[in-house]
Amino acid sequence: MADRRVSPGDDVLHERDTSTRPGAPSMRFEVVLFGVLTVFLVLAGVVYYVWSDEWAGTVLLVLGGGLSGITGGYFAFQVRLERADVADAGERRPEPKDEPEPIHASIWPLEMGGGLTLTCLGLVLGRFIVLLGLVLVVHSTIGWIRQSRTGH
Amino acid sequence: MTVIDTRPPVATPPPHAAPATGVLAFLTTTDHKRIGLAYLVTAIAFFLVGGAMAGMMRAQLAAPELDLVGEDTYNQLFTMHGTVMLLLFISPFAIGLANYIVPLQIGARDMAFPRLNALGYWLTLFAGIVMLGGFLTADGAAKFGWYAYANLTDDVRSPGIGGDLWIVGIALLGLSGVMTAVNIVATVSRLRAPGMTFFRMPIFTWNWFVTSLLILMTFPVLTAAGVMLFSDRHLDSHIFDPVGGGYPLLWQHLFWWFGHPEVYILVLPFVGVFTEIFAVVSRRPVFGYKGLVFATIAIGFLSVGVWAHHMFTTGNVLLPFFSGMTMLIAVPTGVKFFNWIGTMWSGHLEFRLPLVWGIGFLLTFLLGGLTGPILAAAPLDFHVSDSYFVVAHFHYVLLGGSMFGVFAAAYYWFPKFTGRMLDERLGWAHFLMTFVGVHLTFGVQHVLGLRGMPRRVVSYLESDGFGALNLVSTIGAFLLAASVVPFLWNMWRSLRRGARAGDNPWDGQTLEWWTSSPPAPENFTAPLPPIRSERPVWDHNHPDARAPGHA
Repeated sequence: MADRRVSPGDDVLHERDTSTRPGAPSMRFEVVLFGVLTVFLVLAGVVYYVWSDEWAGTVLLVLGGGLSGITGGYFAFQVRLERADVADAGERRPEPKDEPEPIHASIWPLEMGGGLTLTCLGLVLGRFIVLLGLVLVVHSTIGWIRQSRTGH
Repeated sequence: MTVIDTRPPVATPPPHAAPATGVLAFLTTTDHKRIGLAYLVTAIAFFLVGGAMAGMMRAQLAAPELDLVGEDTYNQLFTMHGTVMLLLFISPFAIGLANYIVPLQIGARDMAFPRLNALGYWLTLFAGIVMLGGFLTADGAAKFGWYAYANLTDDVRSPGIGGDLWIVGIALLGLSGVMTAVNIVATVSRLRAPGMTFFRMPIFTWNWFVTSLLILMTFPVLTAAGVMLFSDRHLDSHIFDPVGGGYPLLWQHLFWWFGHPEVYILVLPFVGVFTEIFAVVSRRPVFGYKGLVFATIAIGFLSVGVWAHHMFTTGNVLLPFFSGMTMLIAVPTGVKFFNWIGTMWSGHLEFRLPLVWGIGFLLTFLLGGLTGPILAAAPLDFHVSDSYFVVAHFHYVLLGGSMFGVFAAAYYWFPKFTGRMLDERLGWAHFLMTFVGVHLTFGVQHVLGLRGMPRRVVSYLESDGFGALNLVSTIGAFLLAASVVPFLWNMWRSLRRGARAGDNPWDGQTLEWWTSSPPAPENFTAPLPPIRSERPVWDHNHPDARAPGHA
């Protein structure tokens, strides 16, 4: 059978760090997709510039290509790491990373959302609201990072 | 640590074993299904708000020279109607579906970044409240049209904070959209179950992956443009102001760089919904799966090269480039129609509600699609630009492509969300009222546009001769408004009294139908079936089914 059968349900249910497992999604497809997109956008930018001599669209197209290139580059980098991992593993497969307990509830997104909204709103309504918003953003950022480390 | 060890086991529940309940659970949730439902409910609430605005506008236009709403209010209404419907109804509804369905379809237990997901939801909700809050200010909400052309938006022509609140909302929505898109790309590339290769992903997930790419390319530009506009209004930066050496057309370039792909961002997810539905109700695999996927990718790529077809009449854009690209995009769209028909051809069609909405979609979206190339042809566009013809065109596209998709998704996945079926008879009433309403309201607007009625006018003269068709349009709009009554009543009643759905009421093909309805907290309690095609659940339930064509 060409495909790997999914044997223990556990394998599927707890799939977090899949980079070193057989059957884990490989990211080569993403590299190709973002690569083609980059080439397409840059080419479109060049054609557009030569044809129209209009700079706003040219900048947008080329920078769009750049953005897509960065993303594709990141995926390519991950694919290389993945290959190195598999090569290193050889006989002994590396231990799965120590994943903290997944987070099931968090108040920080709500606080950060409120903080960001108040910060922007304050620019319209009054300075002291900006201050309040920034306090909420900083406070929730600290809480968010702490939660990432400890799990609660 | 020793202290804990000496306690009796009952007294030491593992952390998070007792999840919060009630309001607190909602405020702190990071579960993709709860966030998804929150998005869906919020979107429907904004839909009702946007619909009420549309109703007021249609009432004002029902007869010549009416004065139901003032000119100023009318400007606010059409600006906020567009903003609410596009950015606070369709977009969040699509995102809500993505949240709920994408992890299920790829066999993951949540999104890649659950908290980022929650943040995206809160930003969407707050942005909506901020934008609509403009109605409570002295000068009212934003009134420069939903695409906010410079120099209507400068601090001289649009004083008052309604416009500023609109800009804040746009910036926050841009941020929220980017967060969602990053999350979906990460989820799709990292959390697929073993065996779920890219070319075995369900089409809905595929379309959301491509949609995410479009969001990543366009939303940051929208937010940046909003910041520039804000600085023009408050910091005297003159970016869009010709008096200070600025370039007003730059706004149009930036806005439509976002604005046109936005149409595909709004339509592609629902096109994915319909593809799923056509395959399931025909009891066949998607016809030409790979061709369909590549058509979607092609639409995604091409859609970033067509923005200035909204700017033909500025006389300052490269007509052949944008005309050509726009006509080109009709080709992959045509391929999709071919695939849908191929999927249903010789299938065992069962006329249940999702399919009924699907057929409504094919008819309506086709008409909207056909007026697209008409508008893409620059010589024709010069005649009908900014007329009701354009209004009719994009309402056919967005009501046909997106709103029908919203309802199709509601009837298709409601059993998964709640474990109950929606009532068929109320559903038929809802469909017929909507379908007739849409075509009455917007069909005649093609004619109005060709006869020269401009968009965004608060009234017209008796002698213009627009009265009769406008009355027809208004009657259609009221029928459309009334159609939400059976829909909401159906939802409300079926939540408690609907027939039990079971896990897989439609004999579905993709992994969301593998789990219970509603799904357990971490989605799958049983091991997944082996994934050897794009429809693993079907393969498992119908081991004797032959390859495509023999089903």
